[in-house]
Amino acid sequence: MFLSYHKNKKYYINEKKVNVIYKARKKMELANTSIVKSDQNNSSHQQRQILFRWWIVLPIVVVSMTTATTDPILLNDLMIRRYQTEYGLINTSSPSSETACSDEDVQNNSQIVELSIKVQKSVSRLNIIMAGVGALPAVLTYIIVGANSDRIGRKPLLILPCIGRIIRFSILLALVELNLSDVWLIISNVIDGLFGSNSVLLLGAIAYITDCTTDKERSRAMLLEEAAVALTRIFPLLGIGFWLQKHGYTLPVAINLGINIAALIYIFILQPESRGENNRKIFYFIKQLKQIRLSPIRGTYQVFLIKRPRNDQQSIILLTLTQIMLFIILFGFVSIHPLYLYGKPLCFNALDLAILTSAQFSLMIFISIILSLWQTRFTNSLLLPLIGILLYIIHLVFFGLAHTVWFLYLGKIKIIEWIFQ
Amino acid sequence: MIAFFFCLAVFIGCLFFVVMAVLRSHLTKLVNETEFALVFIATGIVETLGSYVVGIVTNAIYARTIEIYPGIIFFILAIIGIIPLAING
Repeated sequence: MFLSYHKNKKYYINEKKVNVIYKARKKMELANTSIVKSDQNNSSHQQRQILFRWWIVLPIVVVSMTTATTDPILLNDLMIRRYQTEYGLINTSSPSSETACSDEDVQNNSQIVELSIKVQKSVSRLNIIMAGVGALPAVLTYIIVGANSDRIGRKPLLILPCIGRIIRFSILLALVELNLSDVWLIISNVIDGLFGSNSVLLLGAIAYITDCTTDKERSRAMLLEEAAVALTRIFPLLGIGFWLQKHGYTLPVAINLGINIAALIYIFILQPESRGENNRKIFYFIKQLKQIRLSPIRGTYQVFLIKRPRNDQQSIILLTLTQIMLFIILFGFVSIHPLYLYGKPLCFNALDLAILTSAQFSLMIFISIILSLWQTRFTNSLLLPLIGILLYIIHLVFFGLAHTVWFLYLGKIKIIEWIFQ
Repeated sequence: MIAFFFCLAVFIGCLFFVVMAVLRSHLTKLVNETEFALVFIATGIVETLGSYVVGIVTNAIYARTIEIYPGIIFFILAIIGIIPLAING
């Protein structure tokens, strides 16, 4: 019995050794395959880089982000104005900037304060409905089209959102001109979501940049792409801020419609395909859409389950989690801060908001360009994200204190003077 | 003091977007060529869903807390920010 136990134990140890050797060999094979793949990737990237330049996609990103940046401010202002008119806070003939909020004489009038809160609550509720009905189509389109991106190419991901935006802004133009009901705001949001909205376009653009750059160049290209995105948060925002001071919504909506039509034409005529056949015909785009299948959706989670050399699998999961959390914070901030700053007692208007945001993004462009030129270990290390996240938390706390910290009331006026000095 | 405060706030905001670019670049280096789009989809789903769902939640919290203290939502977001900070750290 003892012998049998001993034999079994020996057998077990041998089996364990074989397993360890097998696993080690497997790991080595995996690492070798990965190195080969990496080499292949780099050579194919270099080939693609010769054929296409990553920055060809930038005009589309700029157009999309211009729309995405001005859209919330435009809609927020439009919704607030509609409800202010409904509650009798402003005269319909007055310009949008002449709100009850900006009038110092009525700051202490309790009835107006009450109505102002009612307006904020109504806009907030409409935002909730719009977001609720737009979320499902947007996510479904994103998953289906995004998962097929490596099969159908990058161009369909750029074309679809442009079509959605053209329909959306046509509806908004009709809403502004014909004073249609809030239902049309909701419908325009659903259509935008169905066509993938900004997220699908940005996915296509990022994948395009990744296709056309090598590992070494990528950080720099991504930083410059972020700088281009930041650029769209300055001039369009300032433009819309100044415009909404004295004028209506027709022109900004029409411009958004126009630039999206121009972007669509640009993609069809000038934008080469970085993945797959480079065909500029419209029927080819429809043919590509017909190739969309549900099976690649599995790949969206399998990519995190594949065993990789070193700690790459763990790093992919952690980096993705970090990005997800950061997006939650960013969207939370973006969705609420215009309404918060518009409210009492800060009483920002579209221009104040545009100046504040523009100042932020001007500095971001500056820092992005510096970092892209300064290609060191710092830009490729994870120390930079750590510092960035920590500082952003402090930034949020400052915003939260804005209603009580007295110098922010002064700051609201001083920042404008300071920027223009 | 005011100029310093806003300078700091502006600086902080700009670094946040640089963070996203650096993280994205890191991610692409860890996957194969055929997985570029796939690896962004998980974050993209949150990006798409987030722009709607997070908007719903923050607006709902704001509507509920506006009469108590309007800045509460920013403190909640700051607390959530500790999670990516811990992961990255």
